[in-house]
Parts: sequence; structure tokens; C-alpha cells
Amino acid sequence: MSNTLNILITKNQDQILEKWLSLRLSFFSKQKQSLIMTQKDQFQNPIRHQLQEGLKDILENFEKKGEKFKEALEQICRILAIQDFPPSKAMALFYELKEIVREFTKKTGVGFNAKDWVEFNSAIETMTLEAFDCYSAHREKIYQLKVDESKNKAFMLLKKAGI
Amino acid sequence: MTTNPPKLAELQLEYEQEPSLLKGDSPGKEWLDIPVEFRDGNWCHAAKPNVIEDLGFNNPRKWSPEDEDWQLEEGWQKKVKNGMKERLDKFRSFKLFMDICVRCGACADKCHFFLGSGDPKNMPVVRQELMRSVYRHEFTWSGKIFKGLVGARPLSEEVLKEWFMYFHQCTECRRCSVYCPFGIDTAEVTLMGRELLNLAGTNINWISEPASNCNRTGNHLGIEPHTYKNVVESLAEDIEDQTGVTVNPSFNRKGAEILFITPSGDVFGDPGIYTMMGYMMLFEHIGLDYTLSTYASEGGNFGLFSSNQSMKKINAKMFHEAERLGVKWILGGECGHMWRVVHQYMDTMNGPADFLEEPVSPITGTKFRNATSTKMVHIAEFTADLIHQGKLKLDPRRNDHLKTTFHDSCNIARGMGMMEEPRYVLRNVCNNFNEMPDHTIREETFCCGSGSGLNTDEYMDVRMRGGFPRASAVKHVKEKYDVNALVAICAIDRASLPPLMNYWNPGVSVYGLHELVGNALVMEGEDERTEDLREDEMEDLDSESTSREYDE
Repeated sequence: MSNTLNILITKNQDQILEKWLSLRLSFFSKQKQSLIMTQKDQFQNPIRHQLQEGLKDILENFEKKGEKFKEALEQICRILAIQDFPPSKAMALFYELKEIVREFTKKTGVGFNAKDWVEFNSAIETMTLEAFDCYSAHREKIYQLKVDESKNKAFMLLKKAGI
Repeated sequence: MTTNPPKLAELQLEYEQEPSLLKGDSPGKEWLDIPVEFRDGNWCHAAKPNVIEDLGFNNPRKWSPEDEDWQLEEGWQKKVKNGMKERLDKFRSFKLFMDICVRCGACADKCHFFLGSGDPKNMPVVRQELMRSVYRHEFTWSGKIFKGLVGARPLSEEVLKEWFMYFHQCTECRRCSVYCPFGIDTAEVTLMGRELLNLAGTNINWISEPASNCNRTGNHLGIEPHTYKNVVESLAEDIEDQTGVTVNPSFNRKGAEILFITPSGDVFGDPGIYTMMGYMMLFEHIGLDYTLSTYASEGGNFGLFSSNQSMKKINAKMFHEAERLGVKWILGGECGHMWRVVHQYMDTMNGPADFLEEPVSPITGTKFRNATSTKMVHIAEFTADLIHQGKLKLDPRRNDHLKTTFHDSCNIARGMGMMEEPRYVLRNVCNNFNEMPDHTIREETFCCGSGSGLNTDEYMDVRMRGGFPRASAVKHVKEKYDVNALVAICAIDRASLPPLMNYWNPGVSVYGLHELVGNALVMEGEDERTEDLREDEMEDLDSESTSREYDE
């Protein structure tokens, strides 16, 4: 039998997504209300759009994982890895789901047993660790870009010098 | 795996009572109360003491924005205040921009740095407010009397640090100005902000050193004449190796008809060099009588990003050299801010260039009346005219391995209103061109995130944030049309878009417009072409020719 909490996520996907997204967007702005939260145009507010897309894919594929799930983690971590908050805060995004689901169980009165909870917790932990891999890979990419750029700027001089 | 899960009640208590990473930062605080925090990736290195000395700016010293103590001079506030007064008296625009904003918010979500970070101080209105608050305090009666009630505050070290951070998180791209009902030009406010930062001795090296180099050798990299000549000649050899055609660039040649000036990034940087090869092939193809200069060896002008005097001095070499060599007019390469300086400031700063003639294309006879006063023509206009008059032999199929989109450079699109010419050229040299979505191109184009002297590697995090809106529009055309080539007509774009694409959209490469022209040109006496200028395989041209797909 499927995990009750996973079923809950599937059934309440839209509300969970909305809550998760608004919680995370509040990190981007140090103000209560921000256009980052309210502007919904794909190109005029790419942070909101791409986070929403990514979180949606995570929720849709939470149980079965797969390529789409991995791509969603990539997309989200790419945004998080260059923000002004520390890695711990970036990674907190994935633990937020735990709290949101817990609130939903309370609100909807869905019962679940200890095994469900343990499994669900474990899934969140695994997801967070996978996300941390993505996050670190993107940080490393930033450093690689710095090196590449230094070389490219004086490409012809290095070439002439045979370096 | 946990075998002892906490009870719901315990979790709830913990969530509600304990401080947590999940609850956000500074909730509900006003922007004025949030101090700036310098951390790796969000600040640029301070200018080196010898560079500051060379430029004659204040307080040369070794320091870092991360230091607690910035070693400011005694009385720096007075210097900045006097500097502000002097500029308010001298520049009516600055005075007007300080007074006129009604905080309608039209600009609030138009800045790419805001859209990439969500930081409210990156809303153009708030960024300007960082300076306006000091202006009110020092120069208005209401500010002097009511102080904080009218948003006035004294100039403190904290405020200076805030200026340093946020006037270097503006690329002077002017996207916000397009939407401002009063036409407030944020770039001008940032320019003033950076001039005042100079007075306090708080400059960044990436802007100051190129400006200092330019004073010494004529170009940002500080390359001396023989090396400049040597490198251009080796690019000519590369052209010969790849196409079998010999091109013969000349240097400092008196009596040439046209002086060609391009940013030094085209001569030394990858992928700019391929654009340089494209120019040289084009000039050979049409038999243009032109010369390069090892003195005016830089089209770019980092003076624009630090002070108006510095900009004027660096710009002066263009007219000086044109006069010395006795050319008729100047042709300018693909660059962004160079054209902002040429189009908006050069004529009044260093003109009139009455020793030059109104530019006329020697190939087509077209008069470039738009350049009557500056005597300087943009290469995209020049080439568009050549194509329009049927003077170029082009095989656009040679770019069939590229599916292109076009990034409007801020200074070209918004700064000088040129939007059609590069597109016209692009459509004629390649078969696959797809526009990015509306509101992300033309006068509403998103900046690369690295303009105005911010394309330094230690600033990569901020640059990736600032370039996110541009990258998100490219992602769209990449997914929709399989775009793999982002074409731009600006040297800073060519330097900064590759890492941006590498980070956000791997698989998309960055090209200069004239690199694609160089690929497509059918030159007299050429060898069979199977590779493009960067030695990537072209598609097999003998196979069935592909039809043109334009996305109007």
C-alpha cells in the first residue's frame, strides 16, 4: 500500500505548491511583500516562474523520482547557488516540505502511522542530500567559470606565449 | 533511517518557538534598517593604490570591502558633500532626478538585479533613494527639519558602504528608465554615485585599472603597440589558414580613407577574436581603404564607469588619431558602451570633429546622415547598407549549423536606438534566426548582467543573478527552437554571456554578428570551406539546401 503522506501530496498538490513557493519566495525578499512574490509573468519574474516549475515537478514525481525529478532539483539549485543566503538556508527549502505536509495532515485530519512518517522523512532527507550535490556542483561551476574567464580574456596573448 | 519519529505536537512547538532557518530573515524590517553584508561573490576588489595614483583619485591605499575599517580619509564626508553640491549645480539632470521622483513604482520590477535577487535595494527607485536620502538631508529644508520623517539621513560610513554595494549592482543599462513616466535616467544617478565614491577613495579595480591602462597604452588591457600589431597579424594568418584568403590590415597608416576602431576585447579575447576576423574578411571582400591604430586601440571606455573627466580623456584619442592620420571618417566595431559614449557624449565632449567629413560609404555611396556630427558609423549600419545594395556575396547556409537568437545590447538598443540593422544583417547571413519573447528584446532588452565595468570574475555570483532574466529568455528559445547560438554586438556581451550561458543554459554559445558575416562571406580565391571561423564543422553544403526560417 502506498504511503499515506505521498497520497496526501498528490491530492493536495496545488495547495502544497502554493504554500511551498510562497514560503521560499519570502527568503528572496527581506520585505514582507515583494514583487518577486506577486509578479507572475514568466520572463519578468524568472525566479518565481522557475522555482514554481521546479517545485511542481518535485511534487509530481515525489514518489517515483526519475529524470524529471532530477532536472527539477538542478533547476532549483542553480537559482539557490548564487543567492546571497548561505548554503544552510538554501537547503532548508527541502525540509520546508516536511513542515508543510505536517500542517496539511493536521488540517485535513489524515491519519498516518509511524512507518509512513519514517519513510516520508527518509525521502525528504535523501532529496535534500541529492539537492546538496547539485548545489555544490553549481558552486564549483562558478569557480570554474572564474578560471575560464580569466583565460579567455587574454586568449590571444596566452596563445602567442604558447601557454 | 529514523526509527523514533517525533510527535506532531513536539514538532509544532519546536517550529513555533525555536529560531529556525525555515522562517526567513529580517521579516517586516524596512529597507533602511537592513545593513549591507559583504561576502565572497558580492563585491569587487578595491582599486590598487598605484592605479588610484595614476588616475589622480583620492586616498590611494590597500583595502578590501570586506574590511571592518575602510581607512577613509579624515573629512571624507565633506569631500563627498561638496562633490555632490558641485554636481547638482553643474548637471541639471542630476538635480532634476534627485527632486522629481514620485515613487510611483513603475521601475520597481524592471531591474535585472532585482529580478535575479529579490533584494529591494535593487529596485531602481530604492537604489536612487540611497542617494536621495542623503541629498534631502544635506540640500533640502524639509530634510534638514523633518529628517527621517521625509526619508532623509546623514552620510555615514554605513551609507557609503551601501552606495558602494548598490551602485555596483547597477549596470547603467537604463531598462528602468524606459518605464519611468518622468524619464529619470538611473544610469546618470549611478554615474554620479560612482563619482562620489571616487571622492571618498572607494573605487573598484576592474573599472579603475583598465581606465588607467587606457591612459598609458591606449587600451584596457595595457597592451603596447607592437603586441597589438602582432596579435592582429596573427589573426590575419589564422584567416589565411582557414580560408586561403590573404588579408592585409594596416596600422597607423596616414592617408587611409577610414579609421577603424573596435574594442580591444575583439583583438585579444575569446570569442571576440572571431568577430575581428569577420571584420577583416569583410573589409578585404569589399576592398575598403582602412587602417587600424595602435594608439586608438580601444573602442571601449571604462572612464564612463568612473568619472566624466576620465571618460572625456579616454574618448579624446579617437578624434586625435583620426585627425593625425588624416582619415575622412571613423568606422566603429561591435561594442556597447563605446557607442553610448560616441552617440551621447563624444560630440559635445571632444567635438566638433570639423576636420572629418560626413561619412559616405565608399562602396555604395550611401551618406550616413545620422553620423553627420560625430563622423563615426556603426559597423552594423555599414554592413546592412552593403547587403541592402547587394555588394556582398553571401552564403547563409554556411551558418546552418547555428540556430541563432539575437541579444540586443543595452547601449546599442536603448542608448542609440539601433535595433533593425543588426537583425537585417543576421537574417542575411544565417537561415535560422528566432527572436526571444517580447518585452525581453529591443528597447526592453535585458542586460547581460555584467555591463558598466562589472565583468570581473570575483563578482561572478552577482553577475549570474543579474543575467538571470536574460538567460531565462534564452532558455525559452533554446527549448522552443533548439537555439544554440546567442548573437550579440557588444564586446562585454561576448566576454560575459559565455559564462552566463554556461551556467544557466549549457549548450548555447555566444557569437559576434560579424563572425557570422565572416562565416557566410564567399571570398574571391577562397579554399573550400568546411569549418567556421572557430574551426567547428559546418553542415555539409552539398546536401539539399535548407530553406530560410525567419521568425518575424
